[in-house]
Amino acid sequence: MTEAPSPFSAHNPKLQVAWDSTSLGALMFCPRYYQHTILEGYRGSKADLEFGIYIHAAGEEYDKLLLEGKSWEDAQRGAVRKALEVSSIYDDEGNWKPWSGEWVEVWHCKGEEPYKNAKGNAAKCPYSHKGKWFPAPGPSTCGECGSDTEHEVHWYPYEDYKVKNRMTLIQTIVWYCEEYKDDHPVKPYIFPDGTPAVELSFAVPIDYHNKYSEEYQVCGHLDGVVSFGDEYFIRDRKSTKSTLSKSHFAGFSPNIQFDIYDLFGSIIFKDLHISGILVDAMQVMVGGSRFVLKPLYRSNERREELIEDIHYWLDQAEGYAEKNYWPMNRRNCWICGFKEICAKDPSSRKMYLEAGFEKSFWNPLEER
Amino acid sequence: MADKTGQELIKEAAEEPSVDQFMQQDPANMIDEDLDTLIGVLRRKRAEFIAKEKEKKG
Repeated sequence: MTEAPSPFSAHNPKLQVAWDSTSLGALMFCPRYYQHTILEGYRGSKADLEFGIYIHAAGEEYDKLLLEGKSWEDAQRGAVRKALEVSSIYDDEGNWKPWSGEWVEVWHCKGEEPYKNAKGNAAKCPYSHKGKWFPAPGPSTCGECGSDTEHEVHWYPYEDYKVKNRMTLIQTIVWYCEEYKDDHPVKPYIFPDGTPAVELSFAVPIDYHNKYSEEYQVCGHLDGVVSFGDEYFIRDRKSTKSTLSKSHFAGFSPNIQFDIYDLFGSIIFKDLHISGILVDAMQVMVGGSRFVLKPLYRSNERREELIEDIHYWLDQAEGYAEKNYWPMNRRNCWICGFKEICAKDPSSRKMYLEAGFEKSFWNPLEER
Repeated sequence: MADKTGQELIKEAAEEPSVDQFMQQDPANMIDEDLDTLIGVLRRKRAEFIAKEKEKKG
C-alpha cells in the first residue's frame, strides 16, 4: 500500500481540502473537537472504530465468497477466519496476541467445606461465590474455608472493550451469517463487467474551491451498492450497542455519514436512481446479537440542500484555518470526549491532552 | 443441524467447550475443523439466545 497523499492544502497545512464524513462531522460537531481530533490527531477510545472496521472486513469477505459461488458454509467459515485474522496483533518477533483484551489466569474456591461468616452463621465462602474469580497466583486450598480451589484462564476485555471486543466480533459475524442464511433480501449490485459493487472507495471533486483555487473533494468508503426489493441502496453495515428501535434509526435522518454516502453514491451511480441508505444494523451485546435491515430514504431536494451545507462548512473551515483558531461549540460539550480538557485553563490543556489521549492521525485519503 | 430442536441444541451447548478455548489461538494455527467447531458452539449459543427471547415475549 502506498502512502496516502495529504488531505491538506499546499498553501495552508491546517486547511483541509479532501474531506470525508468523519472530518466534516467533527467540524460540524464542534470546531475545537475538529482541531483536537483531525488536526492534532488526539483520539479517545478506538473501540467502536476498530470493531466497525473488523466487522466490515468480515462482512466483505462473506459477500465476496458467496459471489464467487462458494457454499454458504464456506462463506461463513471464511468470514470467521477473516474476523479472527483482523482482530489479531503480531509483535515484531511475530508473537500473536488478541485485539481488545487478554487471557488471565484466575482461581476460585470450590466452596465444598462448611463455612461460617463473621456473625457465626453458615454461609457460602466469599471466594466461592458464583462468577467470582480472583487473579493468580492462588492457593491450592482456600485460606478462608479450607476447600480445594480450581484454576482457569478467562478472557477479560480491556476497559473500553467491555461490549465490542474480539469475542462479540466473532459471535456477531457467525450470527449475522446465520440470520440471513436461507435468503438474504439484500443482493449486491453487479457491474456490467461482472464485478460486485462492494467496498467502494470514492474521492469526488466537488467544483468548489478555496482561496488558493484548490478544488475541494469529498471522499469515503461505501460498503456497497445493493438491491433491496425493487430499489437500489447504498448499504452500510452498522454495529451498535443500542437497541435497534425506531428511535435508534430516527437518529440517522439527518446524519452526516449516511447523508454523504447517499449523496455521493447517488452521484457516482446516477443511473441506478439510488433510493437512500440501507442500514444493515447489528446490535452487539455480551450475551447475543440482533439484526435489522432498515432502509432510510433520501430525496434529491435534501441532497441539494446537503451540497449547500457542505459549501457553507468548507467556508467555515477555511475561515478557522486562516485565523488559526477553532472555537468551541459549547452546546455540545456535554456529549464530548474532550469536555474535561476544555474545562481546564487553556494554558494547561496541552499537558492533559498528551496524558489522556493517544495520537493517531485520520487521513480520509488513506486506503482501507 | 437443521433437524435438531432448540432444546437439543441448548443441551449440547451446556456440554461443550467454551468459546474462550478457540479464541486463545493464533488463527494462523487454526484449521477449518477448529473454525467449524467454534461456529458450532456459537450456533448453539444463538439457538439458546433465540429460545430465551421467545420465552420473554411469551
